[in-house]
This record gives sequence, C-alpha cells and structure tokens, in this order.
Amino acid sequence: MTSRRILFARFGQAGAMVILPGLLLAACGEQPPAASPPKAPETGKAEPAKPVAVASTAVPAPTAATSGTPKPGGTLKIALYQEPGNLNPYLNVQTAGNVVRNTIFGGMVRPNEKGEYVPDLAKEVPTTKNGLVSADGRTVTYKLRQDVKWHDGKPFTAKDVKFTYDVIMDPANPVTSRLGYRDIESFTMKDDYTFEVRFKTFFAPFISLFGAILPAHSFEGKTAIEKSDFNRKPIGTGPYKFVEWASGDHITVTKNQDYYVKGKPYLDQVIFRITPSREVGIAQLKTGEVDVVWNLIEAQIPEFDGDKEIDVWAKPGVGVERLVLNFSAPTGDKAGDPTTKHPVLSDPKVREAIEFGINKKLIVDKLLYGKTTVGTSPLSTGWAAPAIPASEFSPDKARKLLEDAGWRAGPDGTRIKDGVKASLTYQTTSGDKLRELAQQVVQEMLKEVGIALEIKNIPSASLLGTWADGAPRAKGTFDINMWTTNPGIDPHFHLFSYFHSSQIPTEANKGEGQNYSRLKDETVDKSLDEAGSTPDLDKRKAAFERAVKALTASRAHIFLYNRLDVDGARKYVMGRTHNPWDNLAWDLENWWLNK
Amino acid sequence: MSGQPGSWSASEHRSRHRLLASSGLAAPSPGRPIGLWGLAWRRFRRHRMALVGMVILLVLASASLLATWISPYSPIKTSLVEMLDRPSPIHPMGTDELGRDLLTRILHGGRVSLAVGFLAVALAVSIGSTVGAIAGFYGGWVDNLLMRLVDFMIALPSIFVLILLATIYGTNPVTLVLVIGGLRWMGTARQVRGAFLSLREREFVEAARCLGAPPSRIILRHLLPNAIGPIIVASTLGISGAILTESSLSYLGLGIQPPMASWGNMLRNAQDQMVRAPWTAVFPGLMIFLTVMAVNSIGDGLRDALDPRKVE
Repeated sequence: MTSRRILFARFGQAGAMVILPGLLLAACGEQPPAASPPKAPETGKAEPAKPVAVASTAVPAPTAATSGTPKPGGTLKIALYQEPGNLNPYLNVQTAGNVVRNTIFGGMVRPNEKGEYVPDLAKEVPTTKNGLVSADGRTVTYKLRQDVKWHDGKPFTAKDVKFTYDVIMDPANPVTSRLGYRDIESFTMKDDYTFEVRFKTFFAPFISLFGAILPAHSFEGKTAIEKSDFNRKPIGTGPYKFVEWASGDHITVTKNQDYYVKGKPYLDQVIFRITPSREVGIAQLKTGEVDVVWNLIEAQIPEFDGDKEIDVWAKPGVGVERLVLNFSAPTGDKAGDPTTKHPVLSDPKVREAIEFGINKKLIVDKLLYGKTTVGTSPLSTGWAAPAIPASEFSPDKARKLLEDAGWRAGPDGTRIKDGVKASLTYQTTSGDKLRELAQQVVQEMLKEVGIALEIKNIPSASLLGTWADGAPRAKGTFDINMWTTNPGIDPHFHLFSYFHSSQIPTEANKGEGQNYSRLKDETVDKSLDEAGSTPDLDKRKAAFERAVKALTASRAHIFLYNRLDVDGARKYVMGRTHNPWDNLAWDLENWWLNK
Repeated sequence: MSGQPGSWSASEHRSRHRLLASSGLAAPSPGRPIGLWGLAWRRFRRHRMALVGMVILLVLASASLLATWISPYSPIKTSLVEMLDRPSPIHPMGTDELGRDLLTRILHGGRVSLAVGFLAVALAVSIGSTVGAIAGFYGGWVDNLLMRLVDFMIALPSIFVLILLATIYGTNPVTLVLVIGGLRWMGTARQVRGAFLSLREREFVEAARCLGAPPSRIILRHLLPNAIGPIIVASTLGISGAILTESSLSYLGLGIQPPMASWGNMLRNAQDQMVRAPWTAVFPGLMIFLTVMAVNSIGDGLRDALDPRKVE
C-alpha cells in the first residue's frame, strides 16, 4: 500500500507539486517533419528525473494500468529500433538515446503527463509566486534536494550543476543546443545546495534549462567532454544505473538502490534491445522475446488486433496533423510574396468552406481506429491549450458559403469565380500510407462541395525542406500542404514561428521563420508579442488563448487530428503513464511486471 | 508483304535482297511467297503457350479499357463503412482500405500499369536498340563513345535521378513512362550491340554491302531481324520490371498519385494488411503475375517465330 500511495501521490497534489503549468518551456522537437528554428535542445526537453513523493493525500488514480499492488523485481526488455550514438544528454541527438538516458539522469524539474512541471533534483519549481523567480523574470533561484547521490555514491551538489553549465558553454563541446544557456548573464552558487541564474533578457522557457545534470567528479572538472568515456558509460542520479552496452545488441541498466524515492524503482533490471527495425521489434514482442516495443506508427496498430497478450498503448500525443493553406500567390515571379494573394485560398470563405467540408470525426474513427481526437488547435493539450470547439462537418454550409462568395459550380462540378477554378494541389510526404488515405478521403469530401484537390506528393526531404532547399512551403509555391508539427510545453516559440507575421519566409530574411501560410493577423501578432514579454503566467495564458482563437479563425492551418503516440507492450507490464511531453521511459521507475 | 518495291529504295536492290534474306528462311512455297512476317505468324500460331499468353493479355487489356462500362462502381469513391470487406457477390474481389471495390480498382489500375509497362518498355527498347545498333554496326570511336554513355547510365544512381525528376517535373503517367523507359534501356543496348558485332562480319551482310546497300538498310533489313531474339527477350523481361518499378516509385513520390490506382501501388498499400485482408494483396499480385507470364510466353513464341535460323 505504501508504494502505491507514493505512486499516486505524484499525480494529484496540486499544492506541493503541481506547478504552475510549467512556466515556460522550450519548443521541443517537432515530429519528424518540420523543424522549428528556435528548437530547444532535445535534452532540454523532459529529463529523467523522478517524481517527488511529497504528497500526503493520495489522490485520483492515474490513468495507467495499475491493477493491484506493484510487485518489485524482474527484468524488463524494451525493443529500440535505433541504436544511440552515446548517452550523454548534451551530445546525444537520437530519440532512442533520450529513452535510455531518461532512466539514468536526473534534472532540476521535469514536465508531468499534464504538461505541468514537477520538481526532480530541485526541491520546488521556481515561480514568481514562491519568490524563486524575480518579478522581471530574469533571476531564477534553485534549491536542491540534499538526499541525492550519484550512482557511484558521491553526493549531488550545486557544483555539479555549475559544472554542467560550464560543459554546455565550453565551445569545445558540440552540444546539441545552447538555446537559453547563452542568454545567461551569471551563474552564482549561493551554497552547496542553492544556485541562482541571471538572464541577460527575459527568456520565456527558462524552466526547461538544466534538464539533466552531469557529475563534476567523473570528469575531474575538465569541461571538454566530447571524447570522454563517460558518454558511453554514464553516471547519473536517475532510478537506474548503467551496467553495460553491447554495441548493436543491447544496453543494460540496473536498479539504483540509493534512489531518492524510497521503494523505487520496482524493476531489478531493464534491457534495451536494439532491433534493426520496428517490424523486428513487433515480431519479438509477439514471441515474448521483448516485453515492450518503443515508438510504433499509427498504421501498425491493427497488427495487434485480437492479440490477447499484447496491449497497444495508443494515446494522443502533442503533434497535430494539419492542412497548411497558402495565402500568397503560389506561382509567378512574386510567388510566396506576402503582398500577393492566392487566387483561391486568400478568400476566407473558401477556407471556411474547406473546414466545413471535412468530416474529421470520420477520419479519426475509421483511419485512426477511433483512438485519437479531432484536431482543433495547434495546442492539443498542455497548460496553455485553450478550449477550441471541434469544427462542424456540414457540406451544406460549405456549399452555401461558396455560393455566397460567388463561387459557382462549373461544368465538371468544380466551382469557378471570375474565371478562376477552385482547383488546388494537395501535397504531403510521399510513401506515408496513413497520410495518403487521409488525403483521398479529404479529396473526396471537398469534391462534394465543389473544391477539386490534386494530390501531388513529394519526398519528405523536399516537402519539409528549408529555404535553401527551395522547399515549396518555404518559398510559398504550394496550395495546400499536409504535415504534423508540435509545440513545446511552452508554446511560445512554436506559435510565434508559425503564425507571427514577422516570421514569413522571404528573400529579405533568407527564409527565416515558419509562417508558411503567410498569415498576417494583427490580433495574433499582438497577442504573441505580449505572451513573449511577461513572466506572468495568467497573462501569458490569456494572450495565448487570444492568439490561438484568432489563428484558428483565420484557418491558416486546418487541424485534422491529433497524432498518436504508439507503443506496444505485453499485458503484464504495469504502472506506466503516458506523457505526451516526454518519451516512453519518463516514468520507468513506476513500472512493474505482473507475472 | 506483297512484294511490291517501296518507293524509297531502288526496286532492283530490294528484290535481290529479299531473295538473299529469305533464302535461308524457308523453302519457297509453291504459291505466293509469304514473307518473313507471314512465316513468323504461321510459326507463332503453333506455339500453344504463346497463344494462351496472348489471349490472357488481350482479355486483361480489353477489360481494363472497358472498365468504366464493366464495373458499376467508381474506382475512387470511398466508402468508409465498407473498409476491407471480404470478397462477396457484391464485391467479387473484396474492398480496399477505403472501402472501394477492389475489382473496379484492378480494372482501372490495369490501364495505368499496362500502359506504363508497355510504353516504358517500348521506349527503352527503341532507345536501347538504336544505341546498340549504331554502336555495334559502326564500331570504333562511335562504339566507344556510346558504350561509355551506357556505362555512365548504369553507374548513375537511379534513385537520385528519380527524386530529382520528381521534384522538378512532378508526377503523371507520361513522366513515369519517360523516366522508367529512360533509365532501363542500357541492357538492351548492350545485347543488341553484341549481336551486331558478330552479325556484321557474316557473309550475308558483306553481300549486302557489296551490292551497295546503304548502312540504314543493312541495319534495318539484315541485322536487326537477326538480332530480334535478344530484343524480344529484353522487352518481355522489361515489362514486368517496369510494372514493378512503377510501384516502387510510389515510395519516392514519383509513382501514380492517389487516388488513381495502379497494380503496383495497390500491392504496396496491401503490404501492411496482408494478414488481415489478404485479398488486397493477392488480386493485384495475381494480375501482375498473369501479365508477366503472358508477356513472357508471348516473347518465347515470338523469339522462336522470328528466329531466321530456326529450321522446322
């Protein structure tokens, strides 16, 4: 019972742990497609770190499969279809590396499954309310837990954090990103368990920094770490200790007996099996050779239909599949110039008709097995996500809108206005079956209302390329694109980059920014400017809400459905909670085997 | 083949050549001379497998051409309530992952696949034969130059070329034919060149030359018919390859774009549902198999029929 209470404790407990919806957080990595320039370090994302069993009252049960009392012990095998290059949080760029690393390292704070920050190595999450963040948001103080030990038994102190900061800033290290760290003016150690960071200017997602801490003593204070053995034999503060790495075969971690949450982790050992592909992982899951297979795609869900021994963990993630509409002229000398107008899509009635014409629910029910929700906004979940009602499916309204706007049915059923045909190209990444199916359904639905779509898919590298690549979305030489992207816990960079008028890629700015739609909306601009300039969470939240309402009304993007995070596991794997903001292994200390 | 001299060439030459050319082929029949093609047809008819192949191909091709009239369904209209239905009297081949009648899509897909397959191969064989013939006939630096071109084309990573073309020109059946044909002619070129190299030293070629026949005539009338074997073999093998290339091209975005069907992209889409809905893979696969078999046996028959050295 005690262990169970601890397990539950982290979920409720507003008072102690929940934390202001994470102050801000960096735009974390996008889905494979699109890359937002102000991308937070993969590392800055959600770090390892374990729950703080502060709480007292046990609260509502988590959604995870937690039937019965956790049984300690056992070995869990997880199939990864990628082999990490290294396990250093600041050098690793692979998602599989993040999974393994998540079990070994701890950081200051981390996001929970609701997108709220909870303390890990810090005693509490710094906010303006508890006085750990100054009124101007530029000074942040962290107080550290004093009961944390490194895997080799040495105590964890603020010196380690300072060392980690020095490693990140050492120009000799090819770290994945210095975003935010380079805005730090000063790093002051107040004592062994307190430090203060002062930023040159307000950095909205400051809370995402220090997501993983390196042990100073392992490097004897040398901050040039690129060539260190440590990167393949890491020492951390997380629930599991690194044991061995057999290249091409497996990585093994074992229970950290000194983990600061008593009674955790439950498992004795976790083996990450490296498989050549997802398919091999699925096959091994079916034979029972592995217990969990990490990171599947939506189309693989039916492979487990009727399998009595396997659970498919499919939950909406933070990525939103959307249609991206081009407001500017797609052809001609001034193609993509925000001063030009798209012959069809610049008409707001047409854009509205497109949304009315698409039966998103049907796509979700039939093509995504009803396991996700329809897309309504760029922020599908998280502290800043406003409630935007799902769009109505009404071909009649769509037709009426088009009629009223002067688009009359032509001889082949496609509408025409002033000699311009409502005929548009519709592009996504080629070879993606789910997308191709969705495209054909959308194409047919819009045909019903008199808008013709021509599918012209191109390889993802071309579709999602940059200005320098001449990608259609960057150059504005497209009608409708379809892809997924996702915001960070702090959605500022994401919204700013995709919807602020200063972020339209042009010759002048060499294609900076991701406002591919060429949206220019005063409300969006003003709201985002405001959200980016204040540390006051309530104000920011309200500003984001205004921005999201305005941009969804503009239909620069039409949100189809929320992408699923899919993993597969044998039914006896218990205790896991889905966290859209972090990877599979974020709560591995809670997992146990019911067999 | 009436035996009337053509207007473009001296009649004297022509008749002499006919005599020479046909002398080895068949004993002059008592009645009207039946000529090379008539003779070939006579032999072809006796090749049972070839006839079967031809019938299959004709059935497939005409059914595809008449698809719109044969099937009551639309090949692109989706019906999500009927997703992946088993074969039944209403849908003899079942339905696909968007609830469309599979038979209808196979018929419509046949148009694309057969057209792309045959046209691409026709293009490849034309380019290949021309290059091979010129290289083999003239030899020397011409041969060198053309064969280096062939080497270059073979060495060229075709994936790279395909992606490039997809990005620049977009995709439709015409570009597909051009791309597949344009990247698959090198084998034919080498084979034809090889055949020409040995044939051009033969006596009948020398005789033609002595009679003053221009190179074009020697190539077209004397060498090419004798090299028809390798060309036919290359074409028949090429058709299956071209149909399958079309399907793999959809991975690169250069294939037939949805919702248009081709046997290749139907087969590809069936891959991950083969266990749940085997019919979605079996039928398009069967069509490709039948076509390839039919074309191959026709090729067999044609090669025998056209072989000038074949003695009955």
